[in-house]
Amino acid sequence: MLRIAPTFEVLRPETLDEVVNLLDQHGEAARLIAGGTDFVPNLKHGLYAPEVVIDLKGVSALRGIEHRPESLVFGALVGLHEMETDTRVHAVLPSLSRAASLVAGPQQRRMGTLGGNLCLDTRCVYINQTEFWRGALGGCLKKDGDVCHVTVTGKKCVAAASNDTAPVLISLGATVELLSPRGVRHLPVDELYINDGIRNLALGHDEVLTRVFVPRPGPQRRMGFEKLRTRGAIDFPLLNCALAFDLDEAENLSEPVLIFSAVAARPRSISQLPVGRLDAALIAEFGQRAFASVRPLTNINADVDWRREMVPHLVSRAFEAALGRASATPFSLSNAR
Amino acid sequence: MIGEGLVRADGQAKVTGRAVYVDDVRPEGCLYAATVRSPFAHARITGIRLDPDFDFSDVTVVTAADIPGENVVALMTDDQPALADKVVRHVMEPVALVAAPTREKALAAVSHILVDYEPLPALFDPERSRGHEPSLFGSDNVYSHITLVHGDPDGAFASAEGNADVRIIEGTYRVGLQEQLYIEPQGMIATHRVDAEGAPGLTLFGSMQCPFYVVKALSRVLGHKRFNVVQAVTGGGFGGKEEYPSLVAIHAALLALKSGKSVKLIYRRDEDLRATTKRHPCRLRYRTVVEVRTGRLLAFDGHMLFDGGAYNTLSPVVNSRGVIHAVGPYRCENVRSEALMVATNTPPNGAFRGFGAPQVQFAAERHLDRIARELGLDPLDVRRVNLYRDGDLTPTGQTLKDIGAKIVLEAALERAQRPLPPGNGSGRPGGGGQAARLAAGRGLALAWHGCGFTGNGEANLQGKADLALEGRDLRVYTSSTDIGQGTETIFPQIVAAALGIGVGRVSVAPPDTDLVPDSGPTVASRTAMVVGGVVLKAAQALRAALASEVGFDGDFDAMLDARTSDAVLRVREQYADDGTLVWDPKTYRGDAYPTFGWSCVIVDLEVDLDTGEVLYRRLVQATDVGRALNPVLASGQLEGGALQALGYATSEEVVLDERGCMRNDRLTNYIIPTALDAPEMETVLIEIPFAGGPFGAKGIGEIPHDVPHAAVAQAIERATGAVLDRLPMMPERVMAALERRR
Ligand SMILES: Cc1cc2nc3c(=O)[nH]c(=O)nc-3n(C[C@H](O)[C@H](O)[C@H](O)COP(=O)(O)OP(=O)(O)OC[C@H]3O[C@@H](n4cnc5c(N)ncnc54)[C@H](O)[C@@H]3O)c2cc1C
Ligand code: SF4
Repeated sequence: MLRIAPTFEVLRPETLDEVVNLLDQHGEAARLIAGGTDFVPNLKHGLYAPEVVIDLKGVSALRGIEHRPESLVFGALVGLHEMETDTRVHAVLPSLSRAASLVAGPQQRRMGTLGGNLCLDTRCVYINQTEFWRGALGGCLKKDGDVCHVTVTGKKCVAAASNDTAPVLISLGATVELLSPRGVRHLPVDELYINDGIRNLALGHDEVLTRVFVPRPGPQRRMGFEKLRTRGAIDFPLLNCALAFDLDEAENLSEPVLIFSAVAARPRSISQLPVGRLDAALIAEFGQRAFASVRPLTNINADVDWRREMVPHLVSRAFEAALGRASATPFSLSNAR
Repeated sequence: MIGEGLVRADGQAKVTGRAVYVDDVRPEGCLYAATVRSPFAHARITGIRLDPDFDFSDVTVVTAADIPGENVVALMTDDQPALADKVVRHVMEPVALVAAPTREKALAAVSHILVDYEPLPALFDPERSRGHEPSLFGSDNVYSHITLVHGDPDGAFASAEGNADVRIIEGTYRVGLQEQLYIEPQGMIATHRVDAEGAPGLTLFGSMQCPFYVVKALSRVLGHKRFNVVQAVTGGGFGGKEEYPSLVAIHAALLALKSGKSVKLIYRRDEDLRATTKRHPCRLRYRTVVEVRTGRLLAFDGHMLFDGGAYNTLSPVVNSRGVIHAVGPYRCENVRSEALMVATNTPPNGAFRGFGAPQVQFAAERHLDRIARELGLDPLDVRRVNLYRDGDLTPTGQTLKDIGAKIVLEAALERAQRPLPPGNGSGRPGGGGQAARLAAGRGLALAWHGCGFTGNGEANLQGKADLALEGRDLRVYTSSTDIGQGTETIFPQIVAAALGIGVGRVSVAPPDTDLVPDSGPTVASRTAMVVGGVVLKAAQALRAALASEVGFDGDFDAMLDARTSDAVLRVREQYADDGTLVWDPKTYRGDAYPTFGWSCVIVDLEVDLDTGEVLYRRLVQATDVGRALNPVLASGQLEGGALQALGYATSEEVVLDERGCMRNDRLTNYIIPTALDAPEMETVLIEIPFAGGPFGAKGIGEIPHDVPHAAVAQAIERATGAVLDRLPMMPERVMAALERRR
């Protein structure tokens, strides 16, 4: 059984000032923990060796959802379960609420937070393993080694960004608020991620993500989220995609955004999307655009060709969801079957 | 009492976390153990050295040279060593053991034991095992080869040539490895003790199904029996803790002896998945002569090739059950059923719920579907025309009576008429929506399962049970373990019913080989039916003993009141059949089992035509249980077993690397269904009492795992036309089959 070697100290600040002071004091030796649903398994696998763990759970300033006229503001500690069940969030941002409802299983959604989901470590079949397992392969670029077992020749880690809320928040034009000893800064969610699987966050080691601002969508905005995974009940995405676009009364589509993730180290924005009258041909074109630029790798444990073939299907399902043809209720225990 | 859904005796402690599993115990001064394992599938060991730069001062190291007795894991044959000596035959084979004051130190020490290997050619393909190099077992790499002949199959095939009324239909079917995936990994603690006579010895405490298997195996390795074996609360077994714990116990005991300390050996999940036994993969070729008009089976010729892995374990028993169950619950007068179990350089395969029956009955059911397809018949009609009826002979020549085959079929069909739960695909792996292009289908499959050991097994074993009157309460002493299936609840129910007292007055002694007699192993759907029957006999014997003590037979409490002594009154009974069963293990003729269980499974599902995913909506099963001693537990067994079979059907795939080592050794990539993935379950208990079981009960532990996967394959075919004859039916295989269809 995997255990955590108790080689670190856990600190429990209650205010953001205390958090910032602790980050200042301990620097890279410290790591943050929120719900722990990603952090703890990774710790058990020996991926991190912190000296100090700063538990954010007691910081009440990080809680709560604010419904402002121009935006919805989520504290970093807002739980995934809260996002999936809050009817007001669901009414305004159905794709976000749906993405939250499709993260992991019920237990993880009770513990897991939005901040933790956005800061989720990248995933790879060669890294989410025990130390012993990785050691047998001599490690890899991301940890303790100098090769990548996925690209073999490459010198860059391509472990997959696997957070389900990230592509949605990018598609909705959300921003995050980051706090550090140097002060506050804001970043579009899109810029929170960099293309490096070793650490894909443009977040300093002394920074804490405090809030997420999601602009209220206009009346013509449509949005959808789709996810491919092994079991409906629990698994990480094999692929996910978030879609948003404006649709006028004449059924003309404009301002489209389509984001795919669980492919590379950061979510991928699909470019050169068509606009115009929304019909089957247009949807098929979206699917083709996505198919052309989404090339799954062996970093995730499922047939690569099959995953790629699924890309256009996910797109058309995201459209159906956006157009309200799919079941509108969030996915939860009661309707999981 | 009997027939009541009493709350399980172990339930509260388990859900509140008070149950003590082996890893919850930490004896004073205990050392932690780890295993040095082979990285090669086949290699010569030329040396074992300690890294001079590592601090071994507080580490105990054990190799084959430290074994006081014989270097063997005694089971059916003595081919498996406790620790590899000179040669390793599979990846992950234990080569040496270490124990240290902390887990971390033990794990570190493992990588500083330097083993020199000279790799040898390895054998992975069972098709190329028999009679080929390298030689792994016996003279020809065959663990077991059984041919069962009934009627005149050769004649039937010969006369089929040129006969327009009949047709020869053949097919090949494949099933892969499956992991038992008990929640609690393997684990054992060895502690030192001094017995009543003052002699030093050991106590082995751990997670297991069969304490007396451990006794047998360990006594050979130690060369004595000065130890006892105690079962800890066990987090599931499914066969995976039938034979394997013997090895774990041997290892813990060897380290405890050498170090003089207590030793705890707990497998990590990944280690457990890579090292321990799995369900045998099998390739099955079936040829049949069938009547064109009806699909009636006129002759059957089946060849099964099982991969046993690097050591024999219990493989011959799997082979045997496979041969007997190969045709499924269908009448056929001319049968040749031949099964070959061969050696390869993969980790040994072993006991798993169903023991060969889930493999062969998948093929049997798929073959009937093939017959229906080729003859343009309805698969259900083909089943009806062939289904066993009272008085039919099985392939071993056993006459069937009181059979439930037709009854379970009709009961399942009737229950399946209820409206389906909503299925707009909301439970689909991707999350759902009406956008999905879904094709709905229903599949049906039937199973039979011989209850208890094959042939003379029970009569030879003579399983024993003790019952003791201790004060005014009773205590049952057996070596039958509760591994989640409810033994601790059922035995008191049987005793309480027999004596007419409250169930709260009957307790079950912990399976400790110092205290309990050998009741035989907790396997083969035999605990409630066989050992439960002995417990019932013990209750009757205890009543008789009490009656003779007090001079009258009447109300149990009145007899207790009349007792003048308060001495413990303990009786022992053992299994004896009524002598009517006749079995010849050489020819495979005769009464293979005291009775058979019958089951019909109907699966309703949807196939996502875009992704190839299978979405389960409902699983109906009607099963002849003889008598449901506790219907809640009985249904739990049936539903759990069926869910395990759905995993076998569509998600559980063991991927081996080029060394034969399991690659997907995590719960994130070896995919079992969770509670949320389960379809709606409708379980019908049919009660056709079996005179040889307590209150009529039959064994039901394994039959639910026998055919749900076959029903799934039929449902996929009926929904989409895609034909899948190979398990597991992963989405990409379903997609490929959908494409082949076009
Ligand atoms: C079985 C299983 C299945 C899962 N499936 C999915 C899935 O399908 N989709 C998915 O997206 N995730 C999945 N997860 C991962 C995880 O449960 C979720 O991503 C969850 O939202 C993480 O939140 P948390 O609060 O538990 O994060 P934690 O584990 O506490 O933290 C995750 C990381 O973020 C950092 N962090 C946390 N909060 C902050 C903050 N405020 N500022 C800066 N850094 C911070 C931590 O230091 C850590 O590195 C799964 C996990 C498990 C165990
Ligand atoms: S992508 Fe390559 S470098 Fe990154 S974690 Fe996987 S194997 Fe390691």
